[in-house]
Amino acid sequence: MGDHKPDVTVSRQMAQGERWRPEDARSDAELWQLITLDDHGAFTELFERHARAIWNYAYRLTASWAAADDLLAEAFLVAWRRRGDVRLVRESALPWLYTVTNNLRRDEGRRKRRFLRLAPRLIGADVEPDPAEAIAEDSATRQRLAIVVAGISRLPKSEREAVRVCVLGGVSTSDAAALFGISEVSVRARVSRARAHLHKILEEQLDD
Amino acid sequence: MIEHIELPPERELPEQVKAAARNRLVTGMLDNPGRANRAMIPLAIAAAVVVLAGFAVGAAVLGGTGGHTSASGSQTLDTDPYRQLPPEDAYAAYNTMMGAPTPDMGNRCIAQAHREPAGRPAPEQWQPLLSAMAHGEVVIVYRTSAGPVFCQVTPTTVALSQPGGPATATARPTFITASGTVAGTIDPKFQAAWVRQPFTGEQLTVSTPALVRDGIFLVPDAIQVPTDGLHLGVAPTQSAADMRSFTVPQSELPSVVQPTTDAPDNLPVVDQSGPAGQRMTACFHGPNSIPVISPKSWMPGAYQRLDGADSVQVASIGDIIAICTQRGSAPIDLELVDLNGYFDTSTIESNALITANSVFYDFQPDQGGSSHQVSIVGLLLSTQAASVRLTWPGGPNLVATVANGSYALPGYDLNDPSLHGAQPRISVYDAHGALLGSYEVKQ
Repeated sequence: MGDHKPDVTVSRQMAQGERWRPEDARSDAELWQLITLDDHGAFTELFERHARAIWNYAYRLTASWAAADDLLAEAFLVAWRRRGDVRLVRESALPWLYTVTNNLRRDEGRRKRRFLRLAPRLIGADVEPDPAEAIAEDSATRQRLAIVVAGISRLPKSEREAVRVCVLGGVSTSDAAALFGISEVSVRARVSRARAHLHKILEEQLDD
Repeated sequence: MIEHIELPPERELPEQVKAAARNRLVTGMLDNPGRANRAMIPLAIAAAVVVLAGFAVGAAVLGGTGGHTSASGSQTLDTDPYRQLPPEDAYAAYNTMMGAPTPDMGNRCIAQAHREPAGRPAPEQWQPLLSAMAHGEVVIVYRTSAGPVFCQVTPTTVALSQPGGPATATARPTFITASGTVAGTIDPKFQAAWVRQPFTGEQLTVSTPALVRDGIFLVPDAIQVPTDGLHLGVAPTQSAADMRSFTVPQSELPSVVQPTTDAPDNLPVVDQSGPAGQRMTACFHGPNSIPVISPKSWMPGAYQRLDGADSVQVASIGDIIAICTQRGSAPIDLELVDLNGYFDTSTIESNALITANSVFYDFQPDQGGSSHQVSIVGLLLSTQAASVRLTWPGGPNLVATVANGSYALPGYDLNDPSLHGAQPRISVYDAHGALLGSYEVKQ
């Protein structure tokens, strides 16, 4: 009798995330059944699985490793708090975790904007860069990413979300369709339009 | 095309970053064990809302976060006047962050400590722990050798507490400011706390949930200066059902700290001489009002008569909204709502930043003083927004104009049969009738 392989569906995103090993045979869906019963261990296992992917995704959203560090813990905390609202895609929680992370990034941006509006004197015009971050990151790469991040923020909302999930997060259009609750054709159209718009925006920014 | 844009390659997650995140996560999970079944909690309103006359502002109901849709009564106490605010949500509600939000804010606190050194350890040894914010006021908590010191910072003022000493049984206010902040020490076994003015017998007062952490509790910008003691509630869990409540007599409260003006007010002065501005100014100075930051810089907004002698006047500064509700000859009620995604609910569509709250009106004496009529009050940060429209299949077409970015949209009948199973939406239009965006009104 040959080796028996467990019948586990592993999405591409899961496979690309934190190292998945056959002995960790519980899928995200199985874990989430336990998580909804307040199983801390199951949630910690989910964190171990997806932390790397979320951290890298947070960096692509913000162009800041310091912000990514913060978003990593915050995203999983929010996911825990909203564990009753999860939407698994092909048994993976990663696309939903991406949206949680993206929403957090947006909320953080809102908070900062309010500070700026209300008390501009209280905010130093020049924020000292984190030296460790500056050393760790090649400045040219970071600048390029910052331009992309700024360009994405100027896209219409539907395109923006599609780009953040599909392009920055690497989620397939079919999985994004399941996540957004729309057809895959619509996701493809949004990504396609976004690419065209973003191309124009980035050209303008580079011209400037 | 975008494919040609170089995205940075993924990196391995450094173990120390992962460990720090894991620690925060584990702590947070312990703090917040119980909302897995939130989606199964019946959404409370719609058909048979029991809303009793009294304070006017319920909560709004847009987007995803929790909201309240009942108003409370002057004749009968609300069965649960305590807003539920688990610790993690308190962090969100008060924009909590570690340390001081900016070096300058911390510097202003330290400078004030040098100006008022009596009774406090040397400020150079203070360690900023966390900060919380509401309605433009920031409170920074410092750890000192003599106990926690609280520092309240607004764009123009600073106020410092004396050290709080060690945590005591239950909770003890050690810092009350003239602009409405309450803070103090609390037995670390308590996970939740609430603060409110004592009931007067006529008027139900609102309990405001506190931020509770590591033996301190903190409610920024929440109360009027107490004159008859302060009512506190504490709970060993996150549930108000486990609450023990007590009144701290006035004689045991700390002296109210008058903030010191330490910075010029650079916010632009707004013309408030018109009728809307006069109503807003009267509201800000009313007996039921709490102080607002930079009162000369608030923008008077929409005004709407509701029914009889009731009306609502809206005002805003930045993305903080003030809702002034006049009920007959009673003092004007002022509610300040931060756009932080908790007490209010908010969403962003087509760059139109939207917040909203619900104002109940048309209370029916023959129905126990209840109401199911709501005016949705909101703020739009899109300068192009000119009107809003509330619609749902089979429902009325309710329209309101936008005044200086805000609107008040009455006529939302929560008991309208056509609402059953329907999803109301508010759509935002520019002056030419072009749709700027729309968002769901969550019931």
